[in-house]
Amino acid sequence: MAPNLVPVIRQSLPPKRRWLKLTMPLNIETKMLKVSIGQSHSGSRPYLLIELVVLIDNYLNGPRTLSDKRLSYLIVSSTDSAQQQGCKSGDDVARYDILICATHFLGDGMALHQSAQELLTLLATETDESLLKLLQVEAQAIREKAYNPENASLILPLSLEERLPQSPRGALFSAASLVDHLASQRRQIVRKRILTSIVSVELSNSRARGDTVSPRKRRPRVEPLYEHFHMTQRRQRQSLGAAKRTVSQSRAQSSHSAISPGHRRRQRNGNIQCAFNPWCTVDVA
Amino acid sequence: MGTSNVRSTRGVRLMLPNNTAYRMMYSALNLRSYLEANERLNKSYFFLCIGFFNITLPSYIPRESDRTQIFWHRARAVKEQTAKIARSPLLVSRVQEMAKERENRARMWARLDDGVAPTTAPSQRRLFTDEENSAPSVALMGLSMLGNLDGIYRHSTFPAIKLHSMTTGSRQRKGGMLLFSYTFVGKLWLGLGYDVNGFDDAVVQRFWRNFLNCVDVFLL
Repeated sequence: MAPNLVPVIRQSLPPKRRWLKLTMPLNIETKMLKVSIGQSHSGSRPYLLIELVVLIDNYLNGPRTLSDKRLSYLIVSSTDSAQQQGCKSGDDVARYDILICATHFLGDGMALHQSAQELLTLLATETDESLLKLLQVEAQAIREKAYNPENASLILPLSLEERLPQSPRGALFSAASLVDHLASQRRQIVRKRILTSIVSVELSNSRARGDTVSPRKRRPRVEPLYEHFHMTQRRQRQSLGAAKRTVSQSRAQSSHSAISPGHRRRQRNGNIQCAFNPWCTVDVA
Repeated sequence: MGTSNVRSTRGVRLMLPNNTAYRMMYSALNLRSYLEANERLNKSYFFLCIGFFNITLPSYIPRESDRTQIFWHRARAVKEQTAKIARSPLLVSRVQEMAKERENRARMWARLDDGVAPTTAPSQRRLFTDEENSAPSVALMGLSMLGNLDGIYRHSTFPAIKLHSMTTGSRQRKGGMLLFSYTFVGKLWLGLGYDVNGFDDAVVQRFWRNFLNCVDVFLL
């Protein structure tokens, strides 16, 4: 009854992703292992060995892996060795990375985070048996509903517009809302024209600096900026300078070269680094 | 400050100082609170439910001004612009009107993509007869302000699992740039994902450095 997982590493990936790192203790670990051990497309490489940074870079910059035929998928990844995951070394914590990928038309950020919350709750509270039972009950209910011809019109969800409160019917309201809409759009049109110019000016500046290829013509490559600094108390403010900021570049660099050896690695000076964890964190205690 | 050529609405080139223009940023608008219950959702929360709105700010700092005051003044302006849009009694009707336009555009594009002649014409709706009808389509960057995610991740419901970090992002179009902000496990997270081939990287790096400096100076 091991879950039959989609082989996620097949190509690489696209429109929307969420990932979170988590650590979990022994009692959950066996369940997670079942989910996470699988074979990649080539048939030999377990998911577990693939570093999350590589997955993320592939997701952001590789060929698309989501499509009409695969709307979403889940990756559970760990760089811990199998022994560590068995937690025999005395360390009772195993580390996992979870990557949830979904097409954006399927759901928004709130939907993804809510489903991650639900997934974690299920993993933490249910046993294998109860999970399977839950799945069977839900699948059965959906199947019955779907196979009933009376429900044919209920299978596809409604669009957002259909679910919003209906506007009053009437020519006056309809005219008023159209005018209001056009006016609210118009308020931004002038700004748009100015902005368009700014963008083109900045781009032409960059060309002037020696970029022979127009930046807009190159395939987009997402490179998130990563900055980490910890502030636990206000009185640390003065000391929060360059020295306070820590960066982890080595991991990103090694994986970077592993996936795209031909790609130029930008050398960063000072505090700013490019990596795959694009974040600056601030403790708001 | 240098000057830049800015094409005016009549096609005349104007000379404007680089820093007198406005900057527009777009952001998603959560519409979930407006939705009506419907059995076809099968009790699912998994759907797309966003509109969008723009934030526009001046890109200059008045001479001899107190930068702290300006920072907080702009912060209040963002709050006011956001509130004005989110609390407008016309929000739903604007979303509906925009949906009509986008539906029309999507159908036209789909036919174009299929190599079939479009059966509908571009929307001719306009406020004034002598005006081009073009909605704004270019913004400098997108904002993803997710708020406090600890409200969604109720850590007490999975005590055996300890989350320590979370990142979010998406593939980008050419020239795409997205600024993220959210609270997760009691920390404020700020991030920037952008197309490195779409910008002069020195400009982006300088922006990010200044952005972090602003956090240091104004927020901590």
